[in-house]
Parts: sequence; structure tokens; C-alpha cells
Amino acid sequence: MSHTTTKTPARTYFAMMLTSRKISLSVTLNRFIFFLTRLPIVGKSIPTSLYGEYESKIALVVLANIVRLFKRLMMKALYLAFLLASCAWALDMGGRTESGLLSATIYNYALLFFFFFSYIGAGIAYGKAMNLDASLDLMLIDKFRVDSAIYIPARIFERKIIDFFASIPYAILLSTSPDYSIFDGLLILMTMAMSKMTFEALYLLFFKHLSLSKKRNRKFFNYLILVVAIAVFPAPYILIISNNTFSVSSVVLHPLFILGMIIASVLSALYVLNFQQYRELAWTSVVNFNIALEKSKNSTKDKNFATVKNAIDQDTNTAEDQMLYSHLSGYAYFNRIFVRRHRKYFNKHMLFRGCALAGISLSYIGITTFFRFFSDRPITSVSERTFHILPLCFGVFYFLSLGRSATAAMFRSCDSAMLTYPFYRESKAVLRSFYHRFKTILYYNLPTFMGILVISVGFDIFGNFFEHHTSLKSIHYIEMIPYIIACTMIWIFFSFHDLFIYYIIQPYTSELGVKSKLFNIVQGVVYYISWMNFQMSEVNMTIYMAVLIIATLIYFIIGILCINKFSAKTFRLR
Amino acid sequence: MRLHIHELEHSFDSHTVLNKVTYTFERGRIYGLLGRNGAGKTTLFNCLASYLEFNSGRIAIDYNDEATDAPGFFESVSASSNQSRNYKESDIGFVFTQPHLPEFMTGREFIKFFIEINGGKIQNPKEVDDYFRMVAFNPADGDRLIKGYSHGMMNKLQMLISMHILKPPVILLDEPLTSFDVVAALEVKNMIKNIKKDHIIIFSTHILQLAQDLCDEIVVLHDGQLRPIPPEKIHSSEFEAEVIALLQEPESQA
Repeated sequence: MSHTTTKTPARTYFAMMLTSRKISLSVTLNRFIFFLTRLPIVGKSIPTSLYGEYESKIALVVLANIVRLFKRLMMKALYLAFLLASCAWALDMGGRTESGLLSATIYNYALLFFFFFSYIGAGIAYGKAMNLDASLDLMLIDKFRVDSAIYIPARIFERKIIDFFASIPYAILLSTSPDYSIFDGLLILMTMAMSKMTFEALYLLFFKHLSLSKKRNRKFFNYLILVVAIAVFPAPYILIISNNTFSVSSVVLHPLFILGMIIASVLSALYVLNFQQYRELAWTSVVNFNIALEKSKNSTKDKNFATVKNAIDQDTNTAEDQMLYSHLSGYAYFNRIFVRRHRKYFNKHMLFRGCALAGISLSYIGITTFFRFFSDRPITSVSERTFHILPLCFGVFYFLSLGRSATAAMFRSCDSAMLTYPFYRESKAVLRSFYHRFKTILYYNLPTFMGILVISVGFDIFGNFFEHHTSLKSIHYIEMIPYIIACTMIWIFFSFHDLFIYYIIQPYTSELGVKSKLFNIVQGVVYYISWMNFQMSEVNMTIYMAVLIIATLIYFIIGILCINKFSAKTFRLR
Repeated sequence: MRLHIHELEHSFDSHTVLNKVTYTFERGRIYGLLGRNGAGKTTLFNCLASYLEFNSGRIAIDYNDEATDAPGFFESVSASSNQSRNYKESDIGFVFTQPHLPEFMTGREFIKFFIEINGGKIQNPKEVDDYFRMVAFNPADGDRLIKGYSHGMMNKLQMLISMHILKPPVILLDEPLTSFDVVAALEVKNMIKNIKKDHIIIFSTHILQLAQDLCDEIVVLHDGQLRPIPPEKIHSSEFEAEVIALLQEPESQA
């Protein structure tokens, strides 16, 4: 691509700066109007014709500019507070204190932080050329097709000018010290702006000579920047803590330093104005941004189904499956094929859970038995255990349940298509599939159920035997019955719950998103209940199990009634 | 048999998409539905197929040709029959632009399942391979997972279900030839022409030449209204100009 070699007059850059400001303000105003229209209750009364009422918007432009200025000053004030807090912390770490917040030492140390962060750090990490803003810069380059050879240098200069003026309060604050005048403050700000301009030119130099348009080179460069930034950031802290500081003002206000910065910044400005690869730099940023945006959209879109994206067994022997299920028909056939085609995926997860829980059980038995036979402790009597593992098992089941994966796979591979067919939405079809799927999820959660049963019975009932050397005769075997019932209720609850809310709320859209606040709330409540169970290990087990069993039964019964009555209407494609 | 639409109205927020649409479609004819993007073609299809509950109006299938126009038909229907639709969902076959098929099944399994489930509604059920041949679908591909099918293969299966197996009285095709190659497109066009005598076929398209080639009547959806193009103009040289003039009419004039 050929680049213009004619000299661009300064007014062109100035005009570009003004235009970009106007567009930025317009975008901000439209976004604000959009935000207002989305507000509950009042939103509907905001007319959409406001977007086109340019005269009314002028008043808002003035307001927006004031707000922007205020915002920028606030950020500067926060930065100043951060500098002062950093000074105080570093002094404290160094075992020193200062009598006042604005003593001469504090001014000097604040300047030290300012030097490292604003002169060097910000120059390295926050240069305009390196950080084209997606909401304005890339939009103007990509959508408005502005000439990046004019736009980018205009923005570089604009940023330095705005930074300078926005930092004037620092100069004013510095002049409150008897050691500094307002002129000193302004000089410091000027050399800061010059330093940043120099870093801008350096980045452009690196872009050209290191071919930063290439992905691998850019990645390497970004790591390099990160390393430098990590080295620069702690430097003032280390200097202050170790009491090895230097007088920043004697450096930055030294005539030679100022002269050097002037020369460097003039040369840098000229380089910025004459750089020939702005279009390449701009399009590299645009392309990278669009790729990142696409990736983010895809991951957001599919995040609910990411784990089941490849759940279908593509190596399945379909001819063999035909023979296996030739005796079946209708929905029985349909559902068996579904389970068959997902068996590899779910078998793997079932096996993992079974093995993990078996491993925990065997480890417990192994460790306690080892100490039982090799420990010198005398045989103790049965102790009253206050800690019980059954509530933890409830919490663990929440995380190990395959109900969520199963319903996600059902929607992704099956229902997202099948719900477009009228026959699939008929009441008897919906109910038949529900009960078949409930049995399937019970099967998927079987290893987890067996695992928590063994663990809870083993730990809570046989624990004294394993840990306290009691005899098997002293164990109350009858207590196993409520444990078996309680574990069964946990198994039923988690196997039923995910499927129940899937059928009653059906939160998924045809674009694989989630469009139901109620679904999120319900999931949040179940998560909270599960988490609370981790805190219940010392509650009375009789009460705990009674509540668990009764609550699960009630939930299950009401759930079944709701499914029978409502699911034909609710189980639809959004 | 006729499909009557009477004063059908539907809006999204404050934007009226269908504005008291009244029209009658007849069996044995292929209707091309033209309209600009956002005109409401898919909305109209969704209302017909019961995917969308419209705000007001009525849609009915006159199975016995009781009346020749929509107002006449609804007058003849008894007052107690006040439902917005008088037909079952399965009376409308909808061929989507994007096919909807369960990825975990093979084509053969899905067709087999479909036939079993809808057994009572299928006249003269055939073997799966016979159905495959109707849409020029390779039977060998029937044993592969649908997940691995091309878009065109999925479209063929979709058409097979919606047009050949159930044979619903009304068939809606939403941009049906997207992603078909030239040969497949010709096969599908011939298929549609062959079955038209027993159905009411309405398909939406942006391609004027396709509409001219395939359709007996063309209806333009503009400004919430359906307006027919006179049949004698469909194959005339002024057809394109007439359609564009209709579509360019300012919406307030409609």
C-alpha cells in the first residue's frame, strides 16, 4: 500500500482531533440514551426519536464534556491519593515515619513514585500507539475508515496535550511546598509529557524493526513489556524501603535533563509525524480486536454447553446400534439411542467419580487401619463424635452430579432441534421423555450415590471402629437404615432437580444461550443450600436426616405434579 | 382446500409487522412470498405454524372449500368456533432455512423414529430407503450421524419429513434453496412442482427469478399487508419493476 509523502498540514491533525471528539461524544450520548431506555418503568417514556434530536443533544454535549472533565480530574485525584498512600506504606515498611502528610520528604518520595510510574511506567505500558481504544479508535478506523496515518498521530498528540492540562492540579499542589514553585511543577509536567512522547516513538520504532504486526513477534514483545513493567513498578518501593532514594527534582529539573528531553521529544514528534506504517499498525490492532471479540462471543454463546460440545460418540458403530435396538420403537427407541450415543462421555465421568470416591473410601480405611494395627495407642472406648460427614456428602453431590451435563447434552444434541416439531411438544411425548430421562440421570449419578453411601456410612457409623479401636459388636448397625434412606434422597434430589427445572423453566434459547433469570435464581439457591451443608457437619444428625428426607419427598412430589400439569406448556423452544 | 387468513395482526413492541392481513391461499398452487428484510415474512410463517401467538385475527384451513374468501369462510363458521386457529399444528409443514435435526442420530434412525411416532398420520408409509430416494438422498449416508451431514443433506431430510412423509395440507418453505448446489436446487424445484397439486405451498424468497420460475402466484408482504402480483405479470418484462415499485412504496401510504 502506498503512503502519502506530501506534508500534512497541522490543521489536518487538529481537524481530525476535533472530529474524533465529536464522534466520541455522539457515541457516548447515544449509549446514554440507550441506557435510559432500558431502565425499568421510566425507560418506556424515553422516546427513541431522541437519537435524532441534534439540537437537544447539544445541551447534553456540554454536560457530557463537563462530566468527562470531572471524571478525568477524579482519576487524577485518585492517582495522587495512590502515590501518597504508596509513599506512606513504603515509609512504614522501611520503619520510618513522617510528621505530616505533606512534608518535604513526602513531596520528594511522591515525586519518586511519579517519576517511575508516570515518566517511565505509563510511557512503556500506556502509549496511545500501543493501546488503540476499541470503543473509539478502532471503531473510527474500522467502521468510519478514517485515515490512520492522520488519525493515530493526531490522537498521540491529543493524548499528551490533554494529559498535560489534566495534570496541572499536581503542579499546583507541588507549588504548596516551599521547595517548589508553580513553574517547577509545570516544568515537571512538561518533561513528563516529553518522556511519554519519546516512548511513543520508541514503540513505533519497535513496531517497524521488530515486525510487531506478526503475531509471534508481538507476543514476545508483550512479554518483554510485562517484564519491564514488573521491574519498574516495585522500584520506588524498594528504593524508599531501603533508604536509597535520589532527589528526583534535581534530575528532572536539571537543565541538561530538560534539554535532553526537549531534543528527544522533538525527534520523537518528528518520527511520529513521519512514521510510514500507521495503516499496518492500525489494521493489526483492528484484526486482533475482532478476533478477540469473536472468540469472546463464541465462548459466551457456548459456555453453557462447552463441556458437552463433543459429548456425542462419533465413532459409534451405527449398524451395531441398529441391531441392538431393533426391538424398540417410538420414544423408547429414541431415548435409548440418545443414551447409547453419549455413553462414552458419561461413562468416563461416571468412572471418574466412582474411582475418586472409592479412592477416598479406601484411603480412609487404609490409613485408619494402618494406624489401628501399628499404633501404640491403647484401645479406647467409643467416643461421641460430633463431626458427621453426611452433610458434606450433600455438598459434594452438588458438584459431582451429572444432572447438569445431562440436561445440557439433551438440549444441545436433541431438544434444540426436536422442539421445533409439533409431535415432540405433545403432552404425552414430553412426559414420556421426562420419565425416561429421569431414569437415565439416576443411572448416571449411581456411582456418586454409591460413593457417598459408602463414605457416609463408613465414616459416620464405622468411624469409631476404624479410628478408635472399638469392636464390630459395638457398632449400631440399625443406624445404617436412615443413612441409606438419606443418601437415596440426596441421589433422587440431584437427579430430579436439574431435569425438573429444565422441563419447567426451559431456559435455553435456540442460539444456545440462557434466557431465564428464574433459572439463574433457582440454581443460585441450590448452590447456596449445598454450600450451607458444608457448614452443618456438627448438627444433630437425627434432625438433619429427618429434614432432608421430608424436604426431598415434598419437593419430589410437588415436582412430579408440576411436570404432569405444566411441562407440556413450559417445555418449549425460546 | 383453502387457507384463510383473516385480519391477522401482530406487533413487536410498538412496531406493527402484520397489519390486519387478509388473504386466501388455494390448494394446487405455489405461492411466492416476497418482501424486504424485516417485512414480516418469517413472522407470518411463525403465526401460521403456531410458533407465535398473534395479537388478533384468525387463521383457518377450509378443508372442504366452503367459501372462496376469508371473510366469507369465517362468516360461515359457527359463532361458537371462536378459536384463532381451527387446525392442528401438524397440518402445517415448515421447512426452515436452517434445518433442525437431532445430531446424535443417523438419518435412517431419525426417519424410522419419525415414521413410528407419526404412524397414524402417514398415508401409505414406505420403507426408509424409498423415502431417501424421493429426495435424492444417498441411502448409504443414512447410516452416518446427522452431526456429520452437510447443510444440503440436512435440508433434504428436513424436506422429506415436512413434505413427503406427513404430507401436511399446507407447506411453508423459508428460503428453501439456500446452500443447495445447482443440481440439488433443480431437484428440489421439481420436487415442489410434483407435489403441489395436493398441497398449499408458500415459500419465501428474495430471488425474483426463483419466484418467477417456480410460482403460480406471487404475493408481496409490505407495510404489514399482503398484496398479490397479477399472475399475468409474473412472466412479463415488467415483473421486476412492479415488485420493486410495490416494495418501495412509502409505508404510510399502504
